[in-house]
Amino acid sequence: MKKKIFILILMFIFAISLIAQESVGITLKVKGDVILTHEEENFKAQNGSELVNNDVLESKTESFAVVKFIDGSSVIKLFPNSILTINAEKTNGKLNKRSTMKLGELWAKVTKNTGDFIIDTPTTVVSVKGTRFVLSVSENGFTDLYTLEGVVNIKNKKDDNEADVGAGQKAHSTGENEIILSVIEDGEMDDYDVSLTEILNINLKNDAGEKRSIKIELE
Amino acid sequence: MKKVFIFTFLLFILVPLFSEIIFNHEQPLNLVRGKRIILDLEIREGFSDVEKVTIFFRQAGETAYSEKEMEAGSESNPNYSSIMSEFAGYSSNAEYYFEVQSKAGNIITYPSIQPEMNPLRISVYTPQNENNGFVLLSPDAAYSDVTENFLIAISIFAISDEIEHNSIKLFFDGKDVTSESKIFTNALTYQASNVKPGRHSYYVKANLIGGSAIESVHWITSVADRGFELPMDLTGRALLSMRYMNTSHNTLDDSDKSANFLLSLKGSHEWLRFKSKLYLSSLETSSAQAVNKYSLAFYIPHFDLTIGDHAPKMNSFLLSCKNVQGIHTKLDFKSFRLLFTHGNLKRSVDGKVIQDTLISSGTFKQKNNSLRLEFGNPQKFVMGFGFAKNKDDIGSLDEQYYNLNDSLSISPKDNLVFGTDFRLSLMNQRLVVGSEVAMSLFNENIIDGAISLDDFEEDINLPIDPLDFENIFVINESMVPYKPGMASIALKSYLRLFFYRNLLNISLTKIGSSFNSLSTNYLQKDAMIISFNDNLMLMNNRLALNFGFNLSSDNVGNTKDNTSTSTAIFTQAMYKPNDEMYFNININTSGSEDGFVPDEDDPVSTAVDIRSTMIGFGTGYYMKQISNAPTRLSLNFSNSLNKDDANSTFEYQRNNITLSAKTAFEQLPLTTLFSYTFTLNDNSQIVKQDTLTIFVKEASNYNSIFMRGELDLMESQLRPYLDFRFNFFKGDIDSQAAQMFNIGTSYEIMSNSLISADAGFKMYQNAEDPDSDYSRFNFKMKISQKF
Repeated sequence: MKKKIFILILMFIFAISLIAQESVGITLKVKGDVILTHEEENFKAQNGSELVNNDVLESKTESFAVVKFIDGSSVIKLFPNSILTINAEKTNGKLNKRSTMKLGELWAKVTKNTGDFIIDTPTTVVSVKGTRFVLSVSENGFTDLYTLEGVVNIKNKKDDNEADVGAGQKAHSTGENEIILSVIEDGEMDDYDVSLTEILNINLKNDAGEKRSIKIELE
Repeated sequence: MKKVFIFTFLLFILVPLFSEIIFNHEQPLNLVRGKRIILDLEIREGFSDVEKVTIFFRQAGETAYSEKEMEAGSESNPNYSSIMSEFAGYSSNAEYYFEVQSKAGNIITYPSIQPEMNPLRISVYTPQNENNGFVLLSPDAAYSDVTENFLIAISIFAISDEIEHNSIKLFFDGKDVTSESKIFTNALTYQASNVKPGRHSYYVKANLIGGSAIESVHWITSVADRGFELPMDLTGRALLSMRYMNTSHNTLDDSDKSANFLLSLKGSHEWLRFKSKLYLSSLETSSAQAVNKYSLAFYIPHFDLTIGDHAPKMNSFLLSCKNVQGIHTKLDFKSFRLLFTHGNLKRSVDGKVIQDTLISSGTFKQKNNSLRLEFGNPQKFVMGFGFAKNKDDIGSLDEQYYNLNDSLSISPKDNLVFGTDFRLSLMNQRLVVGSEVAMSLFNENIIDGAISLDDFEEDINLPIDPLDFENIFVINESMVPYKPGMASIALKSYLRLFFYRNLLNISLTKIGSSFNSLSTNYLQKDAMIISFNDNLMLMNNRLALNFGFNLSSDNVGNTKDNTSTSTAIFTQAMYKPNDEMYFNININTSGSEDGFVPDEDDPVSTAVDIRSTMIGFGTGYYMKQISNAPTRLSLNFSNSLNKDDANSTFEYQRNNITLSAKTAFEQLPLTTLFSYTFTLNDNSQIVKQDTLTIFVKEASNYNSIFMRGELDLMESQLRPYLDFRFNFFKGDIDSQAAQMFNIGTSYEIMSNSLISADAGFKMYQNAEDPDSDYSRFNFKMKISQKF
């Protein structure tokens, strides 16, 4: 009897672990050093790596990863020196994605009506309904959002200030007070939103007015 | 003059109705955004009388039509087809019409009445994402590499709760590779390694918890043969096509053969990109305009150079949709662009002289120089200025081909058009407004060159001496108009608004009666055109509504006694309650009148008032319930009426019904198509002979049965087909029948190499005129290689 109860408990735990381990994404393409942290164990991410909830992807210098969510609706490209925690939950047949971006830059393409697509940064919450955008999180948690298509909502975690950022607009948030909206400057994203065989060139500017340029050769 | 207009107008309308060439076009239901479409024009009778068929097309809201020649089928497959890859980029309705040129030189259009104003339309449809349970995540052309090692990732997210995970099997090239795959809760992956170049297919089989088996679609991925690697990226396509036709008839000998070769190349190396195209045809002859075309284009950052045949767009009124053989350059910066073209719109073609008698005139070489300066960001605000200079080269043609006893059979022309335009885009291009304006100078005879100011018969108060500006524009007394004014101006304003799922296009075009642009000479002169088109998608894209009208009139400068007007109103609604069913209804009405009030005492004095109405209804259902043979059924009905409202000389009615069934057998690699068409024509005319008025009723019907079977063998590498068509006409016309057989196949020899061959046979019988019976054989072959 005890043995049966033990087996049942084991099966239950196994079943629970299976639910917890539900795959939510796949890495379609990995270049360079991208570390996949799964249950506190580090692996080198490869093409076709399974991503489950709470998996963390960390791209090193001159490295990147392309992640496709399991419902086929959304793609994220994680640029070098970035850290992203993947999370998604199936509700009413749709996959609601809520990932966390700790540091770095990503580009995302989201299909409409395929569940929520939310990215938490240390200071803000960015929610999307069918769009393309670039998100940049600096070391102090400040967030820059560049909307290329559609509308993205950005909300401060501290004071709940929020703003809708339309196509061609960018937003800067420190996590509190006003979210500064402005227009993406001519050519700022010109070399960015193109085929992956091109060189991506992203120009960013921080509060101090210092300019940074990210150049990524994807092929 | 009035009579000439009426005669021309009636001829224009009546030619298609009495023509020996009878054609039919099944308008596609909609255009799936981002996808190309194939348009067919079926020549029901008179296929061998057709010289060529041209399709004119544009996106709703544009002024000018682009054109391309359609590819001829064969006597046994009497269709002219065109792959409209241009439509893939359209975000609003596609508008098009056909122009059929007969060997006798007649031009017939479809739609027959004012096709430029009342073209056929296809709504753009944005499909919902399909989800059949298995979703291919990788390879994805945008994000994955497809080399000899590529990742296959398939999502089962949508059915993960219903599927038995341990029943999942993945097959790659027919081999079960499940043991080498990774199966996760919501997906499975397989790393294809060291695969050979060519096509590779894969699919998933599994059981649902209820026990039923499911299978994914069979995906196919092509791996290119890397072979010899060039020091640059180079892709391209070569296509060789041949056709042959032979007729067996006592007196008729119209055998025909032609061959064409097309080579297109595209490549890049670091910052340099290039593109080239070469088209050679056996139809090329020095006695007509060029059929052969070539182009070589280089692109470096901020500069494009194209040598050869190219159709640059400077402004709708300056240079647009016209091929210029020459040199084309473009300087391209963020806020500034400079386009320049130098070349020939026409080449010189000798006329025909027999025994010092000019039988047919030649054609002067027509030179074009165009320039456009553009300032601003194309995504926001752009302002442009430019000119187009078109001039016939007198020296390009021997005098004997245009001068007949000191009388010119054709005259060399000079033309200068200058214009400006702006375009403002707001709200991420959801609102676009713009305007274009141009003015022309035109001289219809420059054979004697410019004349001095003193030689003008009239006092025209010119501030310059024409002789000083002869190199810019030849001014003499052959200028049209003599003094340029408002009639020499063309104007277009447009608004495009896209909000929620509503796409609205409004435009106003006004072209003066003396606006002459040889580089956009397809534009209708002396016309004011108001165009309105609204496209609305509702109910999650399941309901598409389209409404619009075109109003046009002449007499822009109010210089004529009467103003001719044309109105075309069109509505279309398509409803797809689910993925299996659709309903489509469209109603088009159009009318043309000349505003003339006839003199009751003059029997020859008549007005023109032609009305047309067309109502169409279509429905279709995909019957998955038929075991192993899911069939797509469709039924289309249309009724059209063309009548002479002013004089009641004719009233033509046409009812057409088509029923078709397409079946893709599940257990057999076979697809079949059966279709039946029945058309009832009632062509009533009132013929006046002296004092008698005779009512002539001509009722006829047309029946057509078509059957086709196509096999899909060797993972779609080999696709043979066989079809049969039986047409017959009856009623108050000669009883005629035609049987047509076609057999053919396409074979993909290896990745990217395709060969296809088709042979057809037609037998025609006329019960009332057996001498006109004939049989005809056709053969076509194509060899295509992509690399």
